[in-house]
Amino acid sequence: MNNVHGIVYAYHSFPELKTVGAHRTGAALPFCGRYRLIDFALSGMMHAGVRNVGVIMQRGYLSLIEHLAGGRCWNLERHTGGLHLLAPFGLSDASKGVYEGGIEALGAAWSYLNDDIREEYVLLMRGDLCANIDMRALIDAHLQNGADITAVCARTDVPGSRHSFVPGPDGTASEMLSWQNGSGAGHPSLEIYVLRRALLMDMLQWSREHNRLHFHQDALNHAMEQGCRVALFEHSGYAMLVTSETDYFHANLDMLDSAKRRSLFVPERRVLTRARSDVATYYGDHSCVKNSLVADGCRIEGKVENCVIFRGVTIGAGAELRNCVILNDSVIGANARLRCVISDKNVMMSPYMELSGSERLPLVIPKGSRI
Amino acid sequence: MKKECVAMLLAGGQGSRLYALTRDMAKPGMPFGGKYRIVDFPLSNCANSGIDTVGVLTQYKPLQLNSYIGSGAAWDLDSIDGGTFILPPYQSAGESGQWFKGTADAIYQNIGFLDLYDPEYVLILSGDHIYKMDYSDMLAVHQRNEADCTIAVIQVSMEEASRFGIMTLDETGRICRFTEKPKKPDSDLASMGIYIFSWKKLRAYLVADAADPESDNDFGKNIIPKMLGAGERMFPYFFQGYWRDVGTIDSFWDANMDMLASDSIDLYDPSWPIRSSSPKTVPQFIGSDAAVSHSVITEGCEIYGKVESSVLSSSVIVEPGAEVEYSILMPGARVCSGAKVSYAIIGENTVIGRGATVGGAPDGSESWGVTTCGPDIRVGEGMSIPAHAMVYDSPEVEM
Repeated sequence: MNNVHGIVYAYHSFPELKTVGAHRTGAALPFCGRYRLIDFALSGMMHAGVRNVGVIMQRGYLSLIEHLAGGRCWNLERHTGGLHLLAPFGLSDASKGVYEGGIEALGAAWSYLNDDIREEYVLLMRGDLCANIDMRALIDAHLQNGADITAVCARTDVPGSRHSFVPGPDGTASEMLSWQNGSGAGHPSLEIYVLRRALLMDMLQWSREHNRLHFHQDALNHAMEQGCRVALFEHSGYAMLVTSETDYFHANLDMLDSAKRRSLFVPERRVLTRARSDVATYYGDHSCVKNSLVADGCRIEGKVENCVIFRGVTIGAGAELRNCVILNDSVIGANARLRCVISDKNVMMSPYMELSGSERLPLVIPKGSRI
Repeated sequence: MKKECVAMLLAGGQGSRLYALTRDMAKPGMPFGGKYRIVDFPLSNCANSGIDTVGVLTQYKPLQLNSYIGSGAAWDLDSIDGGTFILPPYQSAGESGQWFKGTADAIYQNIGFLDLYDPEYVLILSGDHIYKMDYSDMLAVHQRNEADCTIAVIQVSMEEASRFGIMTLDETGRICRFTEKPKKPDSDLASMGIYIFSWKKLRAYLVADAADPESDNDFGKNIIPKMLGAGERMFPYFFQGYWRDVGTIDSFWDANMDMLASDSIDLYDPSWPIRSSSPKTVPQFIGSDAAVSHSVITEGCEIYGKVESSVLSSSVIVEPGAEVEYSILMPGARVCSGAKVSYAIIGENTVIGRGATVGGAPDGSESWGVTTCGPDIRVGEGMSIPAHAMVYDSPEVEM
């Protein structure tokens, strides 16, 4: 138990996610055979003893709500506190578009942040971050470093990150940089921040008064200009903010690399997810599976190489899959040939189907397609 | 809280014929079929049959089973008006307390639990069978017959019949004779160890049986013969479909191997899910040089070697160059490089050292059998464990 309240942004669905982001937010993206990205945020907070978490959502949240349910899987189904789903109230803002930035999203949860949170600190993070952060160490660091804000950053390039911090001589950030495309200087931000709730409310108040919508460019920038000290907490493991279809494809296939996989699935900070009843996976007499991750409940008769296969998938005899990500309950017909394909959930693919994308541009088959 | 039917699951048996495998764990807690533990089958059947109150009677080495079952949430058996209740033997005021003497005594000692729910019917289940059954259909038959007791029966071959409780029916279809493990069976209708009793009736028999110092306090040996002798209305419930007793090493191995056959038990049927309390691990990883065929494998496994015709529970590791065939590997088992495991059952967290061999293919000899290694054993580098061996502890010297 600790004095930190978690806030997870789960309203983003970046346009670059295209088809896989059409029906779900980034936080709800299925990952590595059996997870959704938000599992990393919720599991990480659970291991850090955070017992109250608000999830900010705005639209397209059906699959997210189904996944989260009461939060039992992350120990968040509590009599006191637990999981709070912060969907729009649909009052004054109902007709507005997608939240422009983090401040607008937090502003929509103003009364929750102002009135309902009893903890002294808040931990803000994105639900589409794919990283297993030691948040206990992060919180401890913040309580000891005396800074106003502690930010998590990496030393190496983080796909999807759009901000970075330049460390100053005393270890705090001397400057924050933002870039639109590609990486720049400084340490890429994972967009996780620990700060006092009172400071966050001040930042929100200022943003409201000045009609600002963005967390980094507006609120954090202003706070730093006012002398707010931002300490840096380095995360050295795998990290990606999943904001495009290609990144999504690569994040999944990255898990075939055992070093990357072990950096995300750390035994002492297990990643928890919603349970599903599946039988064990059956590998047929003539199946041939190489360098692949396979979840339970599958029946595999064909050839599978460098693939991530989610729960309940059937792969027919003679089918050949290479570099593919096949989401839940898809059926790949016999003798189909797939290269660099993401098949969304519940796709039925006829026998002898030949489909191929490329490493840079995977071919995505929309959810529920019959082809 | 009045209930129509409460299930009582007899899960206290030692399973002594599984030897090393059940030395530290009650039989119903045994891993089965890659994804399951044996107790998943009766618990899932209860949930699917609309029975929401289940007493689980434990006695022998219950810790793992208790923690596995927990609140029953994994099977949706944690409902508000019912739930899953672990019922160990207990003490009452002024008594020293005692172990369950027999299956009937286990229920007798928990009359107080059943009285809390005051059910019309009690369903008695055992925790050592693999099957899917709609108990609500059995209950409907019980009600239609206005029976006092209904026993689920399955047809077995005459050769096998002497291993079971065997029932003989009269011309009206009522059970007129019940013999436990008869030498010369006169019928091929075997009891599946699944009973529905009208609770008031059973309660009276349990009380009388408990007062009988000659009794073994066992359903098959005492309660059922006494009820038959008194002319109570006892009927069979005919079951067709897959049903296996997994009480011996051979039957346990066979039933696991059935998981590889398409004509055994359908576990893909969404209308009758068999649920389990899954360990929380990553999907299985199959390495670049792995060769996997005709096998079932579960999440958390890492396969770098060869696996053929085998059943692997969660988090099993088969290292490069290791071979596993016709074997059952329980959670956390590891087969190191160059080791070979054939026709064997490997207990939880047991490690087969580099280059070791465990078990062997059938050679036609009388003495051949499946090899068993209990849990938490370390079979040293290069050791050889012969076919039909039973390993309880880490072997110290080369065999």
